[in-house]
Amino acid sequence: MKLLLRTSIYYIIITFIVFTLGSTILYNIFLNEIKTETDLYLIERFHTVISTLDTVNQPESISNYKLEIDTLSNVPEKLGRESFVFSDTMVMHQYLRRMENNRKMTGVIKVNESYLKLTLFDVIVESDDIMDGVFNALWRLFLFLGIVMVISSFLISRTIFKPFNQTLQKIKNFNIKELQPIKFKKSHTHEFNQLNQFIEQMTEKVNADYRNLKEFSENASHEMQTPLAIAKGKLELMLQSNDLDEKNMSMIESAYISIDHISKLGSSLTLLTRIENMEFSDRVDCVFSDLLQKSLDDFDELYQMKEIAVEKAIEKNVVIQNDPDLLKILVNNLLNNALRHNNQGGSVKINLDRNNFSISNTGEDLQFSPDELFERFKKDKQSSTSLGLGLAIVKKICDISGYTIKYSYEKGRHQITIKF
Amino acid sequence: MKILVVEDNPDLATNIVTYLKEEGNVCEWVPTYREAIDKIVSFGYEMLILDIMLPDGSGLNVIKELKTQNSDASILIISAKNSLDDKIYGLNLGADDYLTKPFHLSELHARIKAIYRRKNMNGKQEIKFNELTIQVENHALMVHDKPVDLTQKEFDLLLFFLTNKNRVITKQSIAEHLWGDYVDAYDSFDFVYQHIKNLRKKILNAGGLDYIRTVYGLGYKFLVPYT
Repeated sequence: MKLLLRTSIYYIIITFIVFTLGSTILYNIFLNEIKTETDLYLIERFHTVISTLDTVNQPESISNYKLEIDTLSNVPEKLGRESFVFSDTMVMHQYLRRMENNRKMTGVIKVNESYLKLTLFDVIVESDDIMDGVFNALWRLFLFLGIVMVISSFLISRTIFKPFNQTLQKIKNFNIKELQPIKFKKSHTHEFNQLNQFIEQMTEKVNADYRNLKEFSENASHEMQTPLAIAKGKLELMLQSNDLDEKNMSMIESAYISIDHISKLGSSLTLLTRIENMEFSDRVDCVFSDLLQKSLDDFDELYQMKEIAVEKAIEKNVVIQNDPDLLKILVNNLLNNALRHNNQGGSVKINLDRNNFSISNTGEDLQFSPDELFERFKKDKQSSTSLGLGLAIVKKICDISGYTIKYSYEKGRHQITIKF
Repeated sequence: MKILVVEDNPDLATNIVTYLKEEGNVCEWVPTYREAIDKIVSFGYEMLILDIMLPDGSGLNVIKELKTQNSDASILIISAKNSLDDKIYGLNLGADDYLTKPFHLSELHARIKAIYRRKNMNGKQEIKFNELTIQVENHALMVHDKPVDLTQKEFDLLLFFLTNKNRVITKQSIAEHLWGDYVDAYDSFDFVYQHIKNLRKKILNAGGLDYIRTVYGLGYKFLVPYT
């Protein structure tokens, strides 16, 4: 839900509550006002009656349905203004023939030594009429306000939230590998400026850190190679001397193997970085079918020696636009993976059509979660000699080429599918 | 062969020089670009082993200098930079081969020999060793003048052994020589063993001697018997 819609909804709910409470207040005010006005009117009529009484002898003769005049037999406690009593009552309406809300006023006066009690009535507006009126007015107002609020909030959001949306867009487009820090235009809103400033600083820092890290790993894996070459050469020369016994030889062997491992690791990491840096950007039309067939021919012998049956369904002339070296690395790593993690006498199935390339092989279950398969240095315990970078390189190539890669395990077969 | 090694790292240079000298080559070493230029201007070499990244200049300029002198020395680039651009650029300038550090000395020697054969024998290359005769161009082996059918890999393997006679060659360097980088060396040890077994058998069956010795678990040696 959008921020503005959310706040609008809250405002509308609050407005609704205020309007509901407001309507009772409004109702009471109206009612009181009407009563006060009616009371004043009744008092006025009271005085008119008094002045009329002076001119008639029979007070009862002027009484009507809105005026009752009673003669009191005893002396009242209060007289005149002090004797006024107001109350609500129901009176039969003369024309409508039904009971109507009336305001009633009683007062006592002294006329010619006799005490008269005057009761005056006047129709007042019924309370449910007031309520209807208040309700009708308020819901229209409420509706109007709601509509105005929603429309205006959308209009306002366009201008006020424009810098915020621009910021969002820029963050979305931010790519750490491009090493371009984000720059924002100044906006009129203080909070947005603060946010932008913070993001600018953060991306600059992130870029600097990333650059340092990348340079470090590049240099480290590169600088490693010369000392390793020296150590390797020394061992190789040492092997040539004739006075070594088996114990010495086996020590040299393990040192040799370890050095080999490190240097392979270094060059694989360098390869990963170079792929990441888009150093393989020679995008040309490659006949993937031929490339795959050529690699298969290279691996053929290795598969044979492990007695692995190769089933292939390769569509002819599948052309992929990419760097040929990248595709070669991709294919070789996958073929190597299918060889390494296969059983003696297992099988490999390879499928290629215009949109998909899939390779599946028999092999033991994974010893870790399939989600981690393409991570660096993920490997089975059994193949501790493996670098654990082959599939990470495959994944990286897929990522930068825009291919999707999927792994599945079914009926004892590991399958990797690439969608071009 | 007269070889000049241009390499700024003295330890690495010593390794190369020692190995190549033991193979019967005359070998000199210079650590800088300037000295390399001095040497190639003053003396003639058959082979240059050239590091690209030198403290005072690019090794690629040494190639340019050699070419302006119309020298016919062969050039083998060794570089820690496994960069394809450098490789292509170097080969275009006229280098004969490119080897990435760290390399096996046996591989370096095999490459040098291959370049040498290519250049100096114009394809009609025949290597004779006792009863073995190898025709490099046709990938053919003759034992006692009778042809023996070898697979491509077995042939490469035999040639690799013959260029590094009497030396311990590790399983890793054999695996890398046969399959390049794309196969994990550890996986291919068994394959190396099988190839060697087959090669031995084929030579023996054709009446040849058993030259290949296993050196503990480490590797193999093509033994030249004392006659």
